[in-house]
Amino acid sequence: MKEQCIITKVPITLKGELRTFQIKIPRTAMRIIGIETGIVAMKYNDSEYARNQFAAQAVQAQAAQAVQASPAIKVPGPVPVPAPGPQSLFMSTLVFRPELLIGELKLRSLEKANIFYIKDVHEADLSMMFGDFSITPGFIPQNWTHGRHRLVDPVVVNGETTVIQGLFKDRLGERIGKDWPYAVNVYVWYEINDSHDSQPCS
Amino acid sequence: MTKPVIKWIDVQVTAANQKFTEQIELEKTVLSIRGLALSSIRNDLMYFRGSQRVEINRDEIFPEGYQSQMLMTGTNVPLNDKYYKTGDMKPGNGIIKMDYQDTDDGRTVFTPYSVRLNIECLIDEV
Repeated sequence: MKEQCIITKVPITLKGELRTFQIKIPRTAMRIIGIETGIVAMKYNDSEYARNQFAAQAVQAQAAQAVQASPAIKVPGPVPVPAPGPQSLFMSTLVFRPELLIGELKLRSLEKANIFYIKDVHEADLSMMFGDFSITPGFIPQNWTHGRHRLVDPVVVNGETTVIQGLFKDRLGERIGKDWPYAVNVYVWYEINDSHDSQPCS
Repeated sequence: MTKPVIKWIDVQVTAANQKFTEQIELEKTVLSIRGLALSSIRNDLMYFRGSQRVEINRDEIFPEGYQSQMLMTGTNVPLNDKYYKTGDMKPGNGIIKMDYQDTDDGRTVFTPYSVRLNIECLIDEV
């Protein structure tokens, strides 16, 4: 058995948009084994999303300012050690920012009744730095520094289905009250019968 | 006697919104490919801007448009868990090719960076 993936990009342009789409499954698919999602092409401006997403930079600037304002303790060494400021960096990490809900995804096989996959799609963990005492002004926890290994959501769907019908409901635009263009990538992993050998070929 | 080794492909991303292709050919002593992982000197740029297509022995492992962030892990992930497991994949002709696509998404400002596809292999130590 060999695993392959189909990527379907679902563009969202309007606030609260409800978009349906179809994913064509190849004839060679034996069974569908997993689903992943990702957010792409998201533009930002001065809205709530941008404020949350880039709050880490504000914390960083605030911490640097606090370090500069605090008196340095003179120690014999090349690097001065700053005393904790009135607002230490650690205290600034104790503000919890919940993940923003981007939308809701539902998938169903056209050959079968009922939905086999439903997910609240989130873009990123905004509270990656929450309560992290290892935070420094030069190393703010972000998704690309402290993110976990992403895993596929396992599903078991017969590969005889020809089309998967999907439905995505925008929640981000509803929450911020304006149109917000972005796209959702839906990754469908499936298995094919790998009958040919994979020995060296020219 | 077998031994795990790490090979890699470096892709220099020198211009925004372009595709860059690199490939390597593994040695004949490589018995199998066990895992893949991505890293970069600018993880923030790769996280938001990157997508890639990876093929091994002409078999497509990740299709075009597969986001790089799906293959990234942070510093708190154990080393042995950082890799996307491919199982004991036979290297075939040993050619591994990556097409890396940089795409502006509005959240980052482009600056030249490099991307590395790390490949965990098992070699025959003769």
